[in-house]
Amino acid sequence: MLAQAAWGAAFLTGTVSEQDGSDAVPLHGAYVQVKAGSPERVVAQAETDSRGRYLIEDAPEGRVTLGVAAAGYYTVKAGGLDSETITRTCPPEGECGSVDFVTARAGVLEGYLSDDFGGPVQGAEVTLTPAPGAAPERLGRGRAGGRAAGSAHSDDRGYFRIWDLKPGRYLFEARMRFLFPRWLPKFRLDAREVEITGGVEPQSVSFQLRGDAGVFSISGIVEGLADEEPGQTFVAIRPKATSGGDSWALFTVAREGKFRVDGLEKGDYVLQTGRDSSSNTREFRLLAVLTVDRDLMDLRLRSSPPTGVRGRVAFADGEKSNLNVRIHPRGTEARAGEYLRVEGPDYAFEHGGLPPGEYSASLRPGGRYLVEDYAFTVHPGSMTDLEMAVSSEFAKVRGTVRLGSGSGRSSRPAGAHFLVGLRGGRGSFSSAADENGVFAFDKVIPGEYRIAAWRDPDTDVSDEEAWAEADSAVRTITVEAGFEMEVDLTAER
Amino acid sequence: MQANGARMRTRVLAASILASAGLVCAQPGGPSSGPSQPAETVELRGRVLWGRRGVPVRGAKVAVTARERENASAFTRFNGSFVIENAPVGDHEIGVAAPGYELLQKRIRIPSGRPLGGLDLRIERSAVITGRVLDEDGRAVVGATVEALQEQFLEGRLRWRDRSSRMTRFQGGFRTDDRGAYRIFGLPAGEYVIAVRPTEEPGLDGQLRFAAAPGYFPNADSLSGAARVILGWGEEKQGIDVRLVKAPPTSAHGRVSSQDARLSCSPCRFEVYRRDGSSVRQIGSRSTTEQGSFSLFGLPPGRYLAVARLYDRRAGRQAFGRQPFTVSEERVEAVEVEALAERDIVGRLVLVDPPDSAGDESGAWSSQVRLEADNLDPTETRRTRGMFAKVEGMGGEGPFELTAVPGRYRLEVVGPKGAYVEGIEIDGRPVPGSKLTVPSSGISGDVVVTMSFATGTVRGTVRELEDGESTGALLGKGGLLPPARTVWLLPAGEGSPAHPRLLGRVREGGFEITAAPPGEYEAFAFPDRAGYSIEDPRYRKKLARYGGKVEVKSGETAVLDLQALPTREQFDQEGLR
Repeated sequence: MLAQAAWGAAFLTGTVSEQDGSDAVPLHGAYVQVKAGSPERVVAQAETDSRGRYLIEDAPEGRVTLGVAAAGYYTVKAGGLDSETITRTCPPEGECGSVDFVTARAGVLEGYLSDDFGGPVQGAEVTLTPAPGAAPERLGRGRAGGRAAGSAHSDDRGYFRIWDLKPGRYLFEARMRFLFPRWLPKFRLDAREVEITGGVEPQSVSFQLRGDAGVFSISGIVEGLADEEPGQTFVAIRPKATSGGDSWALFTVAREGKFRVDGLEKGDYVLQTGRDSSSNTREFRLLAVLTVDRDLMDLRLRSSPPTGVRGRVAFADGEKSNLNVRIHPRGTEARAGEYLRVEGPDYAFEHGGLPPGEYSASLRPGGRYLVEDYAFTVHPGSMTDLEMAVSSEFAKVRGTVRLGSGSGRSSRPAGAHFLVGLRGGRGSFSSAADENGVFAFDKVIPGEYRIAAWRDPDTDVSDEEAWAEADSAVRTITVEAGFEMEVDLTAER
Repeated sequence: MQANGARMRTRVLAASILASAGLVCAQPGGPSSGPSQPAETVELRGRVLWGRRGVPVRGAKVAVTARERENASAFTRFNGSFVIENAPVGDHEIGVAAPGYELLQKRIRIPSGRPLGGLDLRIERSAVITGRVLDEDGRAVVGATVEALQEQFLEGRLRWRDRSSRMTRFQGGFRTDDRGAYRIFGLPAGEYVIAVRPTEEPGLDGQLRFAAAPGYFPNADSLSGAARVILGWGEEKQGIDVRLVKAPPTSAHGRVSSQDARLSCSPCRFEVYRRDGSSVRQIGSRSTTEQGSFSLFGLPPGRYLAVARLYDRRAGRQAFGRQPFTVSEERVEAVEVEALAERDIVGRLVLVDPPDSAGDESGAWSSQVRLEADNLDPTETRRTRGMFAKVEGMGGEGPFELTAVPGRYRLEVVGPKGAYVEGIEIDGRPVPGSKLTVPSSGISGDVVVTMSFATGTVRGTVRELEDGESTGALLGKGGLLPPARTVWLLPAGEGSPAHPRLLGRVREGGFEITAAPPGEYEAFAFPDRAGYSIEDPRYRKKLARYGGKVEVKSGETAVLDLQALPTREQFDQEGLR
């Protein structure tokens, strides 16, 4: 079905220009991209000519999102909207309209990192993330994952350079993450805010980093491993309450049970032993939950009896496939925690190395979801049984944003672009309405949601404050698997 | 010893995999020194210097890394001096790290009962290459990958390898910034070729599109036309600008299918490699469309390889396809990549005259058979689960089953203890060497691997090089030790060795290699971190005078006295470069 969509015949035209002071000059060689589907993929694209014009001849039928990809530029206006992208609904063939884009030069941040002596700090990773309260990052071309807008590594002069930055306020951080050999000097800089303005001239900063302070090592021996073959068993460590970029784990080969991990920042960590068993699965055992606030040497640890969760996944719609289920402490982000690999033919899972506590399970957004919000408790020295059901049958929500007449009777479609948001116990979703006010959510996890519309396309619908300031009346809906729900929203003029 | 050598190698491999993923890992190999007890520590004083005149290095970190104990470390002061107050007594490693300098790692003997002073650690300044990457019109090429290649001997032949640091490679290599500028730092002195690979243009699934062609400094389109950049220690070569030509209007279209494996690409990943003289370099990879098709735009005319790897984790099946093709400006090439499924290989190990010690009381023994891709060509299939098997044998025989996609492999057997592969036969026909070719029709007969215990022993002594640096340590006063050594037995003569090289660790100036298959060997006492490969033909001639020849006969012990081999550093001092 998607394949047919890719061979569309609707066409889109328009121009891409660069804002140069008060003038607009054509931007040559920019890519205008058409995205569709869920998850969104580029299904058609065209390059602009020397007069900034583009022609896309093979846009698919239905709702598509248009955006510009041009190195060194960010989008200021899409089809007259203060937005990076715009949504259109294309006919099976023929004209799907004309969209003009206005872009501007993205910003550049460069600088030097130095140590306590004023010497260069080499190999530090610097990252920029949007500052709290700043508009969410939409450039989408950052080379770093997560919410980072850009990252770079300092060179032998301590110099770094990050480009393609949308103007705004950012948090600047520098750290040395992976070191080889492990005893190289480590440096750290606490996050600070920088303001990026667009334009050709780079902004320069320089920072002095603190040496080794605040970084600790742990070492010791895991008892009772002596019989196992070296290389198969490893010690894994992860921060207990992970957030942001800290969710990575360190592994160290255990030989005769000895381990050593360096470069840990202050905090609570979970230690596990892992073992690759013959059946392509990993067996985990809990070793310890440690508070690292100084070097901890010559620890003697012994793995606990299996402590964790085990069970089976049932497929509600009969369509079976392998999965990664993420389990995380209740009340923390789903990004934290650990993966359970669930594979056929029996789709059983087991993790015997979890610290006791309360947990939730989740799937990465995509083609399927967990039917319920599964929660479980892990007790010391015992395995909790958990049966989970997975479904790929989503609900659909579509409708139109209408402008209210003031007397309470909805009259005509909005005729402007709105952002429509859904928020409920199973997550928050947003979708842009097209120029006729038409919106659609194709993959909604069944459940109860609130729904509303906003004029600002940058609204963060997971922010509770936004709901208090919705431009349309907030409605509450309950959506069921396999059903499509029509909702019309009314916004004040 | 063969078994030990192989196990050590797997351990090193496991460690290097972790290391290349940028993760911390323990030191592989080597003896363990029993349960740890409160260690005696002494004060260690010295200086860190660089260059011929011995310029002090400030802010360098000096660390003694004793395997099981806490590191003892210190930073050098403005005059390059350092004091480590709690250096553990014994034989350890000492390392010096400073940004902009080569990492130094040496062995050190710290004597008991008194402080050790006057230790001069000499390090070298790394070299730097900088420049810009520009297109035909002189505009900056943004985001291109720049590599500093050096010819190195690896897995049996000379290959071009990126010498930028491991950490840099983990970070995705050196990329040009928004001005097209690059800076490759941390390079050892030597001769380099600068290679540039432009990033693909944004595009649809299944499309790999380039605006510029890959190139080499200064403006060559192939390795043979590339200029050499010669770097001395501490040198910074600026203005190494690379001009890339516009991508030609070529195109090639293809499709990945695997009727053979009954796997479909919906979608799957494909990789494109370019043949450049003797080198094969990846130029891009991407997903195919949902129908398994792909299109390539802007590849310069030449010879290429398309590779597809398909996996079905659930069924545990894999398929591998590899299709050479040519790109020319005259015509549009059609590339059909047919991925082939794994073939089953059935066989058995046959032990010839096994001694009683080969198995337990009931006669049961175990062994491991594995297939290794025949070389490091990146387009060869990677090792997967089915390519190694545990053999549970009883008496003189043990069956095994393997699976492998068609291709060329080397068959290796580890265990039972003291045995070596004497020969391989398929349906009574001998297979030369240990090379096993799996044709697309599969191997229909039994693979019979004959293991022999008729081995000999080589033992001997190793004479250390005259080296002022380590004399004090050897006299018991403490100080730097000569590098740790391993004796390598390489089958004599040209051609591929019938059995893998044999290794034996040198301890207290002596070594012993047991279970050596009969035959003629060349033996070398090779230093750790030598900086070159013993099998590199460019060095082998010069090394001949350090080596010894030995013939191993079954049941006999050959005695050999070897001269220790120099490190690359010592070679350079001797002017042997």
